[in-house]
Amino acid sequence: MLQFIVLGLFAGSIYALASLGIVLTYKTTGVFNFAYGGIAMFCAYVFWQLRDGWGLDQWIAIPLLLLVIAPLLGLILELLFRLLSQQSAEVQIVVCLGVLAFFTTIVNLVFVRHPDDSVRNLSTVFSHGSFGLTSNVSVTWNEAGTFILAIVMGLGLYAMQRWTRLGTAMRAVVDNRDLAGLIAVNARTIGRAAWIISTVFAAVAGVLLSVQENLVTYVLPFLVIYSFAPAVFGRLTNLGLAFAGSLTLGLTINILQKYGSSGSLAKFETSLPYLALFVLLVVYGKRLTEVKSSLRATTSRAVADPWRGYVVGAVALILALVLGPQVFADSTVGALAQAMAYGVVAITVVVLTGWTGQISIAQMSFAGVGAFTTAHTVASLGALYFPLGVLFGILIAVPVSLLVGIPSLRLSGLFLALATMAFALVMDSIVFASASISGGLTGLDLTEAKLGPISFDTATSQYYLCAVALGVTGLFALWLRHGPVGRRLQMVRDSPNAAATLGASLTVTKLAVFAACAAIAAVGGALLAVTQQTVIPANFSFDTSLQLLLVVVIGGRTLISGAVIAAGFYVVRLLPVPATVNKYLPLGIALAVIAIAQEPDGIGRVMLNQFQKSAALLYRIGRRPRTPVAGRTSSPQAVRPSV
Amino acid sequence: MTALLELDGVSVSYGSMKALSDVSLVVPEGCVVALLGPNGAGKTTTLRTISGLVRPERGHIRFRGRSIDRLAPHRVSSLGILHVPEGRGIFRSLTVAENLEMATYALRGAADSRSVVEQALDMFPALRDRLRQAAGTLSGGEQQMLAMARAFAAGPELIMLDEISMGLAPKITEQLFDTIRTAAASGVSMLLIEQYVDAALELADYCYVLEKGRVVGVGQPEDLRDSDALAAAYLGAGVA
Amino acid sequence: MSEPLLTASGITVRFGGLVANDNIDLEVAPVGITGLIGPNGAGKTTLFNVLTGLNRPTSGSVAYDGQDISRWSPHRRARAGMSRTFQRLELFGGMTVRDNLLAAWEASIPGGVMGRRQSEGRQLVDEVIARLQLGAVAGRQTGELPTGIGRMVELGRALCTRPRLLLLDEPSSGLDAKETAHFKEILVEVTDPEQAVQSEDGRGAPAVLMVEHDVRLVMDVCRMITVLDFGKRIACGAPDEVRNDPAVIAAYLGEPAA
Repeated sequence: MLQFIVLGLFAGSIYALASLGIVLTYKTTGVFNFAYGGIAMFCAYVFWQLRDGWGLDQWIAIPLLLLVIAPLLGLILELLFRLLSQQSAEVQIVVCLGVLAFFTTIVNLVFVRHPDDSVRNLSTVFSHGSFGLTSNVSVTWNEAGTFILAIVMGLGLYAMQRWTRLGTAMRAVVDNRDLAGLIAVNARTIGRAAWIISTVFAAVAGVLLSVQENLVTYVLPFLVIYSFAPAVFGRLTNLGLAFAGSLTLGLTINILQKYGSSGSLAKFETSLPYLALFVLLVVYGKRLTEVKSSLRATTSRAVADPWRGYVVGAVALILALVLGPQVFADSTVGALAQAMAYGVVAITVVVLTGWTGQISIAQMSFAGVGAFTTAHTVASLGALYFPLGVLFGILIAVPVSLLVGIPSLRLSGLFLALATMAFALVMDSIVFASASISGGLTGLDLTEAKLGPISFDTATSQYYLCAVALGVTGLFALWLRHGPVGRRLQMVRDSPNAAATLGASLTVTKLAVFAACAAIAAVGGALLAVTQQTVIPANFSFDTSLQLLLVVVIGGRTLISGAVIAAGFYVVRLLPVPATVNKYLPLGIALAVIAIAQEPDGIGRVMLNQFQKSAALLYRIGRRPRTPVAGRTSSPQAVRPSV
Repeated sequence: MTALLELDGVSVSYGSMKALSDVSLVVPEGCVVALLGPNGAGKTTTLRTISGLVRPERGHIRFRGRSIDRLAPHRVSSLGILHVPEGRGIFRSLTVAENLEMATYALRGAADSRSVVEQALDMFPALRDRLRQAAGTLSGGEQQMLAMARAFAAGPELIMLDEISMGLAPKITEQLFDTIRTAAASGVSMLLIEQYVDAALELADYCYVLEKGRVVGVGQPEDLRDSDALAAAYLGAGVA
Repeated sequence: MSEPLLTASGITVRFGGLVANDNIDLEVAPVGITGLIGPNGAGKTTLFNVLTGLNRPTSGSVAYDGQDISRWSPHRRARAGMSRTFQRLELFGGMTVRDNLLAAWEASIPGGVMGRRQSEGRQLVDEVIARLQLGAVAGRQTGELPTGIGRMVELGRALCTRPRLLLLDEPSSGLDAKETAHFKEILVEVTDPEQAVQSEDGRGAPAVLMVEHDVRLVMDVCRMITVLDFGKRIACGAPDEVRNDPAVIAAYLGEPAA
């Protein structure tokens, strides 16, 4: 038992460092750092490169990391989020997720050259070996050193906050940002300090975690997400509670490991932090206060009804539908079919994130529900029962979405994003990880699906199935947007106060849309199952939900075309394009999200703006020689896009 | 007499809502200037614009001849313009002592926080017993004293007070006004908003009357007291 | 004079030690405009919030149309025909003016709307747009309109819920003199029983309670005015009585010198 307590305190102290860093930036600058795991991992790899890769002395590598590289990283992040401080909470969350994607992909590009590199050993920074605590319990110096370091850093942060001039100013900014400005405190300097400290904590946590768990690109960021739960336990503002919560979490996981190592509890302990995060968000509910990151209130940008865009999109879709299978090779047609299935799920992201202002990072999890249910149904009843499988998928996805939605809808913005994230991770670690549900790593086969007499066994038939589904989903989404439901949703978004007093029952509407989106995502998942023919858990993980969200943001989260552009991304992924494209695409996506997240209509609008600007310029240049005054007559409105 | 602070044709909007239109006013060195006018006239917005919390759309703000309308709040306050905002300008979770120490941020050059705190306590001795207490636990009057003490301890060139009497008992209000009188007598320039019009008229050297974001009257208190502009602004036209 | 539509009796609201409303009585007549004024901090907003259901009174009760509504939620009051506006504009900025009004109408229909009844709503919306002279901007997004028109849209939105009682929270704030005059003219018109917007269920002109700092506006349009100061009712009566009431003058301008 004592051995498990030792291990628990050791693990907990690493979570503590991470949760302190997360809480510090949130309470001081209002940015919840979703990218914390990515940053921690990046720093760990940098440390490996410095010490093990280039053979620098450890006592040169550590100061270089903690005093130069991490603070520099912190300053860059501070600058990025300060530039976004006028934007809405959604934009900040999306950018933060983009930063997470950036760090995870950059690590893969820079440090993982061969598949063998993806798991690397990082030896301890402390002395090797161990000492005996009692006759049969021994503690390694690494464990002891980690624990003591965490305590020292935690106390140091506390002392800094309590007794230094900077700390007092930091608390003053947290207490009342405007007032701090009125007494000559530069909130920007304070924010910078918070980001630097937070990033240094991330670096330390990343290195310590990597010593324990090895450098594994697809594991480390998730282990850092463990510390989100204690951060929320401290209501994102209380450093002491976050610290205590972290140690408790570490202890609980390790004690569960002792008792549950053989039974069903074995999986439970890996998902416990996600469950804890979800439950804490639900329990705290409205008592969690959102820290405003900006001095001025942001008003939601008015988005014109892009009818022209819809018509163009519809015509393109119909043309593609008719021509596609004639023009392209079978493999391409198959890829297009699959991409359209992704498009169906992408539309749900547009509806949720773009139209109701709710960020869901769990849409692929709902798709997974549809995919696995359909695969099971067809496997046990036969190909003819494919529609029944889809129906079952919907029937499971809807109650599950209510389970997530009912408590989450009491929460707003950031907290809903966190709750869906926790949900997706719970699905990954419990449901999809269970071999009886998902068939394990190799997944389930779905070789044949039929709708009455039509069999979807060829690429062309799958293509038509998905195109019809995408079209129907698109029309449904448009009806949602422009009918009474859409108006009601927009009411809630634009002015919750007025909407509430008008007597609109918002919870029901929002919940209905959330459930509808889950159902549509489940259908999309079933289509993915048909086109992929093998349903693999990895295709429905949190990662894939995150990636889908990011590509929709690039495509334009307020337009259906955002979903189409997102689908285009999957075409690229699926086709045999040059390897470098696939290698650098995720990085490009991450950077693009960071760059254009504040433009709700996505890359299309950005390019249209550029095009119109250049066109207007060319027009004026062209006109100028003949009538010099003509340039002045083109009013600012003429330059603005009319879509 | 030189102008310490000068607003020249300042206009401010919140979104589509016009809060100030073409406001011009002057605070001469060593004078107390009061802003009068009904709720919603733009008095608070005027102070917020001066201190940099709100950016003017048009117009200029000059302090000692230097343009300050593009400066962030912390730059404005480090010039010595100290704004005590409406409704208890204190850091509730910090102790009284820590609140007072924050004044050192506004003092240019090295400042000994202990002497700054001492100086503030001389002004409001009632706070001396409460130094270790969280500011949020003070009574309303004490909170207002703390906010003022911090502003005065920060070596002000100009103090801006926004309705310091709001929600306070008359006795405490009178005490706060006494402090203002003492400070004014020692030559500190002040720009204040006050709901008690008669008190404002008594304290001020000059008054500006605002209505719907415009200056509708200006003058010395004795002139305004008898004029219709004030009554009209507060009570509507045609007061008998 | 008929029974009042809304009666607040003995409203007291305490926040900790602070008494924001002290035993206030208020009546709103079923026709015409009633005004609620008072200096900054007098307790108007608190009382307004009690009437709309955002604040629970410490003691006292609110009766509407003969029913005790003290414990009703804000949106139950809205459903019962009490419609409010906001001091800081609360428009649906991403929607057109027409959709703002339509959304308000849809929200006021219990159980939502489908199909056939849509035309009924569009008719009402069209009429309100015409009456409030919003035709020129009906297709514009409200987020880009000036405050003067925004106020009008908010009024229109309230009217589209076919209210019996309109509660206006400082409707003239942020308006310049010209916009205020226009607002006044339209408000008087739509609340006049002779010229009211008629909805199909025959509800006529709504009664109005307005909280307002622009005393001039209140004096011009209200039949009855209640004046608060320091959480207490210090006067209640017709504009002329109130205007010359020494207690009111003292509250606004301070004790008369001498």
